[in-house]
Amino acid sequence: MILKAENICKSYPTSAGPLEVLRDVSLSLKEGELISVAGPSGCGKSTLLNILGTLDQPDKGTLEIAGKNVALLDDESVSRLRSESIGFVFQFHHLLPEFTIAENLTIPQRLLGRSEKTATDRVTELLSKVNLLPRSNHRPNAISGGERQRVAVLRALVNEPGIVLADEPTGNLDVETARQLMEMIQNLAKDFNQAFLIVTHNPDVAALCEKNLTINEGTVIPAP
Amino acid sequence: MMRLESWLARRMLLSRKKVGLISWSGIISILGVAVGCFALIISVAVLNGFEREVRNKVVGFESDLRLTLGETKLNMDNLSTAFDQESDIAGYSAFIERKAVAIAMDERSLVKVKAVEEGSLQKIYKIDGVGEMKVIGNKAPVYVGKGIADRLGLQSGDRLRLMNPLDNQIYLGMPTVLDGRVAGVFETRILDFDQTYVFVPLEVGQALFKSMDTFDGIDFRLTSSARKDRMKALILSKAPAGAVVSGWEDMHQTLFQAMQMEKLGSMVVLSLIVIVACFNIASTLTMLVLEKIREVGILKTIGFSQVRIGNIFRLQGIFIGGFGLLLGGGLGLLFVLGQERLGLIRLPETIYFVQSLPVAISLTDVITIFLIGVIVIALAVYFPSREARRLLPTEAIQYEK
Ligand SMILES: Nc1ncnc2c1ncn2[C@@H]1O[C@H](COP(=O)(O)OP(=O)(O)O)[C@@H](O)[C@H]1O
Ligand SMILES: [Mg+2]
Repeated sequence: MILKAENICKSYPTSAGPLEVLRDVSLSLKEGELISVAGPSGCGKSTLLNILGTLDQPDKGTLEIAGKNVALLDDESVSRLRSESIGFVFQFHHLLPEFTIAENLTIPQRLLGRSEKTATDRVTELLSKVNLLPRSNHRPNAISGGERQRVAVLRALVNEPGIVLADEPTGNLDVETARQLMEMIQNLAKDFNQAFLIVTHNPDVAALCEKNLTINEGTVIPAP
Repeated sequence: MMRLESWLARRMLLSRKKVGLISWSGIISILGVAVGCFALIISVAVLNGFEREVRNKVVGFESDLRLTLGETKLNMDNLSTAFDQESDIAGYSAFIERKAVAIAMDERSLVKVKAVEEGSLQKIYKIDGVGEMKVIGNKAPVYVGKGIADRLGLQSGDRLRLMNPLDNQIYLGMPTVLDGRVAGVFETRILDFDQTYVFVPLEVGQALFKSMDTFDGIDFRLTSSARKDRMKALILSKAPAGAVVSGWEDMHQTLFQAMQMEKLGSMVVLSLIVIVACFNIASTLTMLVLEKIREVGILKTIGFSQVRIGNIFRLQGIFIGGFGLLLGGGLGLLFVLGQERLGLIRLPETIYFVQSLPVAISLTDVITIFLIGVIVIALAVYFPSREARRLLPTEAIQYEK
């Protein structure tokens, strides 16, 4: 079990009192497992993903990643865990605009302590796999939305994390580009044996996953 | 690991798409720090320079060390042999220094009469442009400060009488008056020396002040390699009990203390420029942090810790501030060096006692100024980088510009 969440609760303070978003959510991810999460907008999918990805803290409940209880770690260790074990893909690509495609892909590796040579070799390898090598020296705003999202997926995978959390990765793409992206994710996931938790409304994407979940009134239930 | 942060900091600072407000405020920050450091270096150097000139002049006129005897009398012969053997003593002269009234044709003025040994005017007191001091005929040769000469309308060769109204008890109220001749006029342009002093030969002084075979003290000129505190102790050990040895810093303590205070004051005031410039750095950095909120969020999701995020912005502030510090400090030092070597800025010699603006800077001064800059920059950088650290990744990443 690479990720295990138990009884996660989360509410946001609002002017009309606390807004309860997650209520006793328990969930686990095995190595190499593909899970999809669906649910209406505003039901708490992003909140769940952010908590599972250590970007946000739950009000209650425990989260274990790679055998470590996240609540007991300091910022330095959580950051390290994020760098080593978790990759994120968002609806928006969230690439660093001042840096080239290649640089965007080397920065996470440098953070992990890889040498410049190792990092650039790996970038070349990954970019050529998805036919983006000629674009490696372009800035993110010089390539298309589909290409950007592919680079964002590569960035999430570049450190070979055990977990990839994707929050509506195809939400901004047209049907065809979305299909290509999912194909790419599938191939790469097979290569590296990563666990994926994908928030998606796309039935095609959900169909690719081994388990389909949905969020209903703050709890996670199997999708109908 | 700082290398990664340093690279990110540089890239995020230099290769921004938006070259607008922030670049300008960055440039203004750099210039502000540079101007402040430049001003600090220059003002400290000029104050040092003037202090050095004044000190040299004062030491030149006053001697390196002065032994004063108070009430004790001493045997000069015994002392002479002791002092003559000491290689660090370049010269010495017994002196009498007391007040007297100088009387010209129809003007009179209170002066300080300094009676010194023959040949000591040039050797000990560094008074240029005067001849040898010898008693010719029955008229005492008197060397007069330019201020006194102007006041009394005196020229070389004029008659001048010196009157001692104090030590006159045994002469039934008649003050001692000595007939003299102006042998030369000297000009030091330092403090009130030119308005105050006249020099006469020692025996003339002894006659004027009724102190045959005695004197008030001894002035010493040391060799340039002599260690002053050692010589002070040595001279004191040869002198009788009750004698005091003082250096120029003791003789003109208030003057040199005032100059030190002036230096401190100008450092404090000019540091304000650096402080204001660092407010600029702080506001530039704050704008940078605001502009980079999304990027901070992205970096945090990738796995940058709070410390590393803080480092990135701290480094950007250090680049801006450090560049200004080096620019201003470097230009300042270059100016000081140029002025020292070439004397580019000249001063009217009729007003000042030097030809060109005197400058001097010590390593301690440079380090002090550098530290002032570093401390102020560190403070300027602290708060914006703390804001960056504290940004929540979930909110940062959703931040709409
Ligand atoms: N920082 C926040 N402060 C207050 N309310 C929030 C915050 N983030 C999310 N919410 C609210 O929590 C609910 C769940 O949001 P989210 O997890 O983004 O939903 P989803 O991703 O499923 O559309 C929404 O009603 C949203 O308005
Ligand atoms: Mg969402």
